[in-house]
Amino acid sequence: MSPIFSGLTFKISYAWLGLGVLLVVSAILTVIYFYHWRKYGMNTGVVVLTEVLYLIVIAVLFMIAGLALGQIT
Amino acid sequence: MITFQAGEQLIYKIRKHWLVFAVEVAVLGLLAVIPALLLVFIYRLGVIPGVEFFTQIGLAWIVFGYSLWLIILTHLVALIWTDYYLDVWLVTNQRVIDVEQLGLFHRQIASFRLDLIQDIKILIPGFLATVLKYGNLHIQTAGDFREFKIKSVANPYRLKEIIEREHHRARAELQKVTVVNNIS
Repeated sequence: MSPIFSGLTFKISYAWLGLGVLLVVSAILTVIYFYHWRKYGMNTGVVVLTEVLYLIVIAVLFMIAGLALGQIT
Repeated sequence: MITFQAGEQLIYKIRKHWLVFAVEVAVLGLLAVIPALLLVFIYRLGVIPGVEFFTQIGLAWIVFGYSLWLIILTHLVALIWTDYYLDVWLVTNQRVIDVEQLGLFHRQIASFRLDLIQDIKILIPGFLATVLKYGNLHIQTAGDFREFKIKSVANPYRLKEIIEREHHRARAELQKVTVVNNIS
């Protein structure tokens, strides 16, 4: 049996895959949100502030998730 | 993007009360805190005997899982914000425009002329609404149009006052045009 199907390695591979899938989904959602906010939002200041806050929070959370998974690996 | 007609000017713009957004975000905040509280509970009481959560690897798994959970909740906050921020009522000098964002891909825009308004009704649904000054506004229009409703709008009395003022102005202008046409 190859190492990928055994014990912790198996779990970690799937965890990285899950994180990757979530990253792709997040990227798609981010594009959709930004499109809506830019197109229909009537106050540029509010839109830019929302985008910056959203990106910071998402980036920090992905960084923490990646670092935690790196610790396990 | 709302396209205004020739000579149309924006007079007033209003959204739902901030409390609507705050309550929904508070629910998500609670969902964010619950797993952390649960872990503390498990740690303190040792609810699952024989399972070591708090080794270095175990903690890393917990941080990883919790981060994913928070990412999902952040997306939900963004969705709620989109719904709140893009739901808006615009009063112009010609009509009232009701923009409703339903989720991410469904957007509904309805408008009616100010001179068609027949009745405006305000409903203040309780103590909190009275204190924080929000309520539901119902506008009945003439003809085949439906009743327009905006729920939990901030400062409904001010909105009613502005719509009524603009309605009277629109009616007066309409009558002026009729009289001028009759004379000529």
